[in-house]
Amino acid sequence: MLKKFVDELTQLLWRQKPAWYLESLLQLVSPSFMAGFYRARILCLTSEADCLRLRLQVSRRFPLFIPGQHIQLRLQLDGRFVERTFSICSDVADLAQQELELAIKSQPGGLLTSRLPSMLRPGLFVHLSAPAGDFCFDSQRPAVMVAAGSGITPLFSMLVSARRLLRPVTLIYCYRGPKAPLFSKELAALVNRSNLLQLRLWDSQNGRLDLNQWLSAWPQSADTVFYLCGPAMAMQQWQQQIDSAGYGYNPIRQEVFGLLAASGSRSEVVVRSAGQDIYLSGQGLLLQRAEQSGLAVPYGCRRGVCMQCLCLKQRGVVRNVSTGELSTAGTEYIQLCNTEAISPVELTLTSEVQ
Amino acid sequence: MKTTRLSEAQLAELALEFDALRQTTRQQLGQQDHRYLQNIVRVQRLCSISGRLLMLLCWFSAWWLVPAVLLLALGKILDNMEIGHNVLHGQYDFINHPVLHSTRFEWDIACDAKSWQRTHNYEHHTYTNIIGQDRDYGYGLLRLSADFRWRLRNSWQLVTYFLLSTLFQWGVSYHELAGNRVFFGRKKADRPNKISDAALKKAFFTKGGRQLAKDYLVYPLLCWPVAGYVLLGNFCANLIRNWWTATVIFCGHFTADAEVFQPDETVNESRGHWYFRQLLGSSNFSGPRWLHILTGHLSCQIEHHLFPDIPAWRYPAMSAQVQAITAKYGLPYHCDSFGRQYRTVLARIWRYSWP
Repeated sequence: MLKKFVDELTQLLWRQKPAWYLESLLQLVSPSFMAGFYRARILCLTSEADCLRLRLQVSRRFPLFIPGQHIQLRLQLDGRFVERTFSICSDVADLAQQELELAIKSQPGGLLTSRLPSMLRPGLFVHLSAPAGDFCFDSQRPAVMVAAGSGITPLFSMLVSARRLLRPVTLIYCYRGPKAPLFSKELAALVNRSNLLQLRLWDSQNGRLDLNQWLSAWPQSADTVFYLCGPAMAMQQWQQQIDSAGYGYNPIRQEVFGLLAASGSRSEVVVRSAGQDIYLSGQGLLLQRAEQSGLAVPYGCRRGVCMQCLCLKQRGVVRNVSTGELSTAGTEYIQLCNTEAISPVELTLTSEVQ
Repeated sequence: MKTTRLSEAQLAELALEFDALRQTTRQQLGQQDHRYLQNIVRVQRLCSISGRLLMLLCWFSAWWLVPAVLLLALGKILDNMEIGHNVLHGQYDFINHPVLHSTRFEWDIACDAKSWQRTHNYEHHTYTNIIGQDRDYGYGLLRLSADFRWRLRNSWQLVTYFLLSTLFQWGVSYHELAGNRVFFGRKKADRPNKISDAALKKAFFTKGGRQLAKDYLVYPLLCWPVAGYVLLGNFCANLIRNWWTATVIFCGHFTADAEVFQPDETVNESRGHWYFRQLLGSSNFSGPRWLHILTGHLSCQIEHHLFPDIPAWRYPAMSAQVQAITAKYGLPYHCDSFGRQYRTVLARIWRYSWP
């Protein structure tokens, strides 16, 4: 109640939340302060299987997370704020010592990840959003977890946080050899700790993982929950394989890492901004097209999570490239960073919606 | 009459030169610009907050009102000019800041930021100094060139000008509503209604009302024992800000040298001619660095109109290169001291008061 009153008052007096208004002054006292984000100090950096493991000390205010949830990591790159989403990959109990861990896969040619090793070092501060996401573990039911590459991160956090497994869990983990996969030592320790956990490693150098074949060899019960985490392409295939193996009615929980490559649509898109009509050039993801057309659209994570690039679609059909879902043809809010136009589309930037 | 003319081929070359300058400057954007903006925001917060706090000292002596008003006015000027104007132009959008971004920033002035972006960023910067298309040329109140028919009310336009300066923030906020004839006048057939009258009215009353409530109700109530001083202090700070911004802005396009253009000159205008028009239609004034900052670098109006989306603090450094280009093509570069430029503005208002 009081907080709401203060928020309303500062909105009137300062046209923004108090932390935002006072940010530049608070930074005089504490240079790493950033309004709207939690500060985290880098404890140690290790590189393991083309990933960078980042152990962080978070502040006492950092909220409790549910294993499987993700955060946005915010960094400054050439004076620009860059945000990326990562699943937390540590034991939730470590939060008692205010510690958590992220594993960042270095993307070849990635704007941010290629520069991370030179930017980060122990003692520096980075900034995190509050944890979010509904990808979480149901300990009451048997589970089949399928991960590919860095998709292991949320699943690892679930397994390492479960003090005692109640039902059998099978983890099928695809990695690319010959390097040992991420968390290989910790996973081996977990398997030793509990005889309900089975680990099946699959080196993708030997070809694609075929879940169908695997499921026919090891049948599962009807209440088994499937947890899928990996690139969108692989996940679509896994879903089809689970369906064709006869587990189409089992619950599937999933978290997509990365986006499908946009499949090249040339549909006309018009954005109404400041009273002008701007036709987007190019093809593919709407956010990229908007930027190529010289529109400064607010954005955040660029992978469909943070809702910064939310935009009001007046009409037209778009496809969400992470889920493959088609939108309705009517008015609704869409994100620009993970959608492409299927029909002619008319957009209004959210900031201008009256 | 234009002082100079360039052939279309020359204009195309001119466009390439300015494009190249813009491109090299854009590539330099980064940490430096971020730090500059942060520092200005910090100074602005210090001025505003200390100004408001000093007003409380009027409990002991009314003389405290003088420094308090000056600091608050300074805070408002920095917020409107160096931060607001430039952030709303999208100059700092590359930072991807959650608040200091052209789509999200709101400033300490009666005018709604979105409305200002439509009339200023779009109308004024696109149709700069085109008679009948740039409503910022005289704001529909003043006759500033012989292209407009003389009316009786023009004879007292020096007084009108003074009143406009005094109420400048309300003039700015009413600008779009005036153009769309929301309250008075017959709708113009050729003016497409990009935004509904109801939306315009709502933004006008909401933002204006909030600003009035803030300065003349909430702050005085928060400082109850000295409410009268706070009310007076806020009024004076707003007044100083209004006079300052109006004076600076009038020196941008209404000096003796600044040229106007006819609509038929700009049909299917090339990019080169657009640069040419921005250059000839604007004028700079020189001064120390603090003066540039207080004007939001509108003292570099020429550079601002050539490159409206480049962070404004870079304009003084770009000025030498712009002058080199103008010299190469024999184009004028209007620049003089603040005082002299302002005198020519007053002379222009006086001259066109009469037929």
